[in-house]
Amino acid sequence: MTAYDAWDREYQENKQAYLEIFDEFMSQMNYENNEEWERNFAQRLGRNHCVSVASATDALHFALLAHGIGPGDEVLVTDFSWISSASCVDMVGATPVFCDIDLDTYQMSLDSVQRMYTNRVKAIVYVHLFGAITDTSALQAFCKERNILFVEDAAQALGSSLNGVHAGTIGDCSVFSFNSNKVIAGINGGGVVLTDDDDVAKRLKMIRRHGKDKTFDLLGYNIRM
Amino acid sequence: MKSMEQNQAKRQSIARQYNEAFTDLPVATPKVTNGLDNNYHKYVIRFEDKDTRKRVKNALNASIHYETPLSANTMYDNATMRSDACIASKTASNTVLSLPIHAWLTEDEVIYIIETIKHAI
Repeated sequence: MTAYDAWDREYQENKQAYLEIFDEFMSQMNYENNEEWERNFAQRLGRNHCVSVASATDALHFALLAHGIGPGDEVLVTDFSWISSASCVDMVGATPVFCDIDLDTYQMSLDSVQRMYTNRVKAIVYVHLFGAITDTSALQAFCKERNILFVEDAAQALGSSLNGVHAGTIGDCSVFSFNSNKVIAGINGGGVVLTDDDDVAKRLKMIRRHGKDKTFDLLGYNIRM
Repeated sequence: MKSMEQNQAKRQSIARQYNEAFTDLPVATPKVTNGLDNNYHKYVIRFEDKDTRKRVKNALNASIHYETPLSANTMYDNATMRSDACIASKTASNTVLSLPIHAWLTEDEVIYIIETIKHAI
């Protein structure tokens, strides 16, 4: 027995259904299905926009880019997570500031956030680690008072909620992962950014497609789920 | 995604079995909070020391999330950045272990995991 053979067991159980989906896509090459999926996923969580990308790492990177976080800015991150929770900050040229966790929940500690805050801090990447959610109302109020962008890293938390408030609904931008080790796994991974801001959604869509609107207006990438 | 809720319920059921089985053991189990609907993407327990963690990890072929605090990774060796003391993060990195938990685990496997931990501590 190995600890992580869920993927193979799931595949064997659902193989025919997956092959039918693959066949439908290859027969029609209908990329609009992806847009429809994005609309449905956003609606499921009550958000205005969902932008799909290749991974949650891309999603975190692009969320910071779309909000203009960059060199000279500091971003509060947890010291205990997968590397993407901090490396997304380095990717945009900003500087991560590492905060400690609460040992009983493994989530970022509000006390540590308060200790590490300076006026150079422009954003926080808050992770719902291992899928669990804690009460973030005090942390959200702290960020709102200081105009700190709240990026909700819900990569591991799809399906979790606290008192009816679902993961993916509390961030200025919220991120999910569909990597093969997650509760919902894409064939080759995947990720999404959720936002309620029309302009941010537009920038996210440009960034994932070469920075293109009518012309190439931003430095972009070629990323899709 | 059609099976998401059903699979989550199965993981929650396994988590309840783990919680009950480990009640009297010297391990910290995931915090159970009123109102929390936990998807149990991971079921992470914490041991009193690194040696016990290593013994159980080897017995189960289980994984550690995460073995190194982010700020201690070598990519940050020469970086100019600020960091809190992060004592709790270091403690977690030294003592946590992720137990197998997914909707396709069999009852026999769950019992095997529980008994292996009881014998290894």
